[in-house]
Amino acid sequence: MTQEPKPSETIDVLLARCLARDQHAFQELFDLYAAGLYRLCYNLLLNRDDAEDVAQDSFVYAFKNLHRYDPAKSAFKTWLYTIAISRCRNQYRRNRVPLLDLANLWHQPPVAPQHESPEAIYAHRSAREALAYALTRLNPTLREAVVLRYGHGLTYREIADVMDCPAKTAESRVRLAHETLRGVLHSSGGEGLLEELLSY
Amino acid sequence: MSHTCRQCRAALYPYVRRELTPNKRRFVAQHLETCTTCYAEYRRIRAFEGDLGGALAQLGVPSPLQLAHVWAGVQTQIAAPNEGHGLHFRMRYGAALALLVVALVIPWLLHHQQSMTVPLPPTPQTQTQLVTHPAIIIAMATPNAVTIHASAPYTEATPAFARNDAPDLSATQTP
Repeated sequence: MTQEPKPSETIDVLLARCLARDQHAFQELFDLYAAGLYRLCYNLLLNRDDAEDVAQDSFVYAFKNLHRYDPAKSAFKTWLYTIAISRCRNQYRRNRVPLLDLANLWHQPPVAPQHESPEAIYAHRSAREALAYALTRLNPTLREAVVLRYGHGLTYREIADVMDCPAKTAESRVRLAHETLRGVLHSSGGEGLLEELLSY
Repeated sequence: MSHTCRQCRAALYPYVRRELTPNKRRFVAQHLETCTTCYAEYRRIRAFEGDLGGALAQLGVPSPLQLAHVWAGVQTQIAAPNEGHGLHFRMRYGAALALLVVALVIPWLLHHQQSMTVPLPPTPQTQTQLVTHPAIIIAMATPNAVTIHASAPYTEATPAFARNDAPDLSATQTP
């Protein structure tokens, strides 16, 4: 389910099959983008249930409105992310204060190998919590920019398309978010924790 | 911090991401070779940049079970006919229309009720109506006149000059 997206030509064929109501094509399209889209929703909402709901809603909307997608305007991934971001914004408005799903962090199986010591697992979890906490300190606009840039590797042009702003604005938002995150993580000692998280 | 250091710091983020023009890139690179403080900052930004990308990519990776759950939900909703959405759409616009009607009708009703209950303002008296009253004619003609209401009836308190039966003093005052 976490395979890399195929070249655009293959995506076009897949979309054409979807428009012809081929159920297998829908599943293939879902498999291509589901992991990335869920991760995007989770990084923005920091709550597992909300992320699942928004990801599901985004896919349903995209599948029902595939005829509206214009390949000349943007890549399918950008279009899908635009839908998801819009729904995430609606969710912020409902939640107002973004909720940090600590239960999720607690129950999620550790990415670290099973033979690790409890101390290492604890350090790993702390690093994720520190990063999630730092993300909550950003306002939603900056969080979107930094998540799209660093978490999903979008270019500034693509970020601008998704966030509906000029590319220069997207760039300055990424930079501001980067500086803020660094400040928050530095003040909470989380800069070293990020290295900890990446060492596994 | 010198002016050159300040310029270099401002360009460090784009420098790390290789987003500078060749000229600016050369300027930053030359400065970093000579300034240890800016070089240390560059190392910190670069390390954090790499760490952040890796850490964010790991945050919220879904399990296959979660994705299967989402897919099940998607399938259910895709299979459902679009009528639900159409109904929802119609209800939303219907509610908006009802609100609009209420917003227009309530002020009209209030205005209508006010016009039914509140008496009409008195029509102003014309100049001819005012001047036919003898008391007013006298008051207008007399300096330091006492104000007399046109509607007030003649009483004992009414000055003599305002009454019709007042004695004519013009003859006595004439020398």
